[in-house]
Amino acid sequence: MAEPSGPPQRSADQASTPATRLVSGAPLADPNVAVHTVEAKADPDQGALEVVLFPLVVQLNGKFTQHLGTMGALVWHLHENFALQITGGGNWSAAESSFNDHLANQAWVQPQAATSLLWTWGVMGGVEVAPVYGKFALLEDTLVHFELVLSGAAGVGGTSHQLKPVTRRIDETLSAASFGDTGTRFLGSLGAGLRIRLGRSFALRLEVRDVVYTARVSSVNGCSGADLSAMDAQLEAGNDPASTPVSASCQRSLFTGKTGAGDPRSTDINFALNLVNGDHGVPSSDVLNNVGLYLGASFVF
Amino acid sequence: MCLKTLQIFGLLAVLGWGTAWADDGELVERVAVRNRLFEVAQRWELGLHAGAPLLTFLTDTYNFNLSVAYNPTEWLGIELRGGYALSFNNATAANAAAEFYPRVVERLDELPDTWRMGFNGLLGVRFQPIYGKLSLVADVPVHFQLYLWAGGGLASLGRTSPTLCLAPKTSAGDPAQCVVTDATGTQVRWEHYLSEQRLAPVVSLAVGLRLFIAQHHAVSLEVRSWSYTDSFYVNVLRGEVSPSSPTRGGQLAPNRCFPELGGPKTGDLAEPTACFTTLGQVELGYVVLF
Repeated sequence: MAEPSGPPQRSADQASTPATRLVSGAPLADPNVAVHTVEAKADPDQGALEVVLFPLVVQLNGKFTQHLGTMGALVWHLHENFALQITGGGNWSAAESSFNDHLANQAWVQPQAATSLLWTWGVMGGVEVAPVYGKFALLEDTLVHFELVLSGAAGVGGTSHQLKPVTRRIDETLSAASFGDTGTRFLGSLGAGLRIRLGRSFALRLEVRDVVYTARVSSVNGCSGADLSAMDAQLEAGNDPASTPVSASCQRSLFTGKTGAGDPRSTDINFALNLVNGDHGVPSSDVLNNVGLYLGASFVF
Repeated sequence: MCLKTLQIFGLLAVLGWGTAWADDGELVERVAVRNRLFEVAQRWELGLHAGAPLLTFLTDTYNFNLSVAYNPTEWLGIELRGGYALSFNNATAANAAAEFYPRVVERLDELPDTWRMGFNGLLGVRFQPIYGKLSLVADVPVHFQLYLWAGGGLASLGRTSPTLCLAPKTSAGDPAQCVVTDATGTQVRWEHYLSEQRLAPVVSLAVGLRLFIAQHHAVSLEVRSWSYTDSFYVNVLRGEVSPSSPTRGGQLAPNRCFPELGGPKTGDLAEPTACFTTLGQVELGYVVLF
């Protein structure tokens, strides 16, 4: 007698039992089945545009400096695992670290000027790849899809350096630290992190990015060593440095007059001159790594 | 230093942040990670761990631990670990010592965060609610657990002050015993500096990832903090110290934590205060499950 053709018939009892529900594909009893465990991506990215906001970017390697900032990014997913991205933003808090203060005040040493250069803003363009896709269970019931993202980018950014530390005025009130612009630098960035999908349109991002830039303090507020020397000489002679002839790029007004709190800006001249002159008249130089933790959320169009 | 403590704790908290967003998912999705290939409930573990510093200031620490753990459930483990940390004053400390030694200073405030860890032991709880799989490029599924760890214990601590030399050079005629410059360069003779030992409670927090490589073997990668109280001397009469009176005229810095919060950053105007010293370590481990 011939075997009946077609799929086996189930009884009504079997069909109503959840344990016997059929799903397409491989034997689910085997927990190590690769295909269904991780390849079925719930929300494809190809062709999508993603707008990312990193409200808080915290420097992790803040030995001599401490940075806190906010960044944004636009990511265009050309392929499921490859995207172009533009990242930009600024550090709204960039200052020398408390470790730096301790070294200066208790041990009378400080890093060379280039090592404590502060990063103020940046714009970078680059690529992002997502070679690893996965999912995990939180306790037993919640499933979360994620991707490991790797990024690389290049761009430009602004730098500054602390000039005058916090000081105490004659009336015992505190005078705030002052900072000088030390110019624009090329930036490079490498990053890795997690992109956690929350449905079709939203994602959370947690990334660590290393922004690398070269530092050589050769001017402050556009003023070269010669400009600063000339202004310093005027100041030493008891004259107002506002009348000192300087180069076109030198923002002399940032070293003359008074701050909003009434402190004379001319005190910054000597600090700036020391930064530019460095050791024995040679400006210091360094390659700096600003490793930051980027916490953000994104909307996927 | 307290801001650094917050920085490290913040990193731990953020990295361990659970993403509890439910996805209805298909049945296949649910089965994918609920049928665990590697189950740890009611299993013992033996582990070997090595840690290196994430960020160094005045000291470098390399920690080596053995661990024994038991997992009452899939999501909870109890771990006992102990070991020894190789630690020493690093090049930054040596640089500070060499630069400071020739200075003429009547009263000296020591640098904070110079205590180093030696022997250490911890008992902690491992909360491991996340079990997942990820697909590598070649479609090889890798099973992992993500966990948070918290615990406490004891550690033997030691320190050698980078600034408090017990053979001060107060005049041109004094021999330079603490920092010697010769043809080979500048050398800091740490044996002439104030050195202290103590036993102190330690709190440790960690977030980590365990990658299962077989039913009985796993590799762990974690970021771990070690925190203990700091102490150092201020207002020491530098010219009058000696091995018999190493902190003459000085007193311990007041122990006030978090002076940075709620007030202006006062830079060199701030009185040195002692708080916690926190070491951040990245740690690699190998675990055998029984």
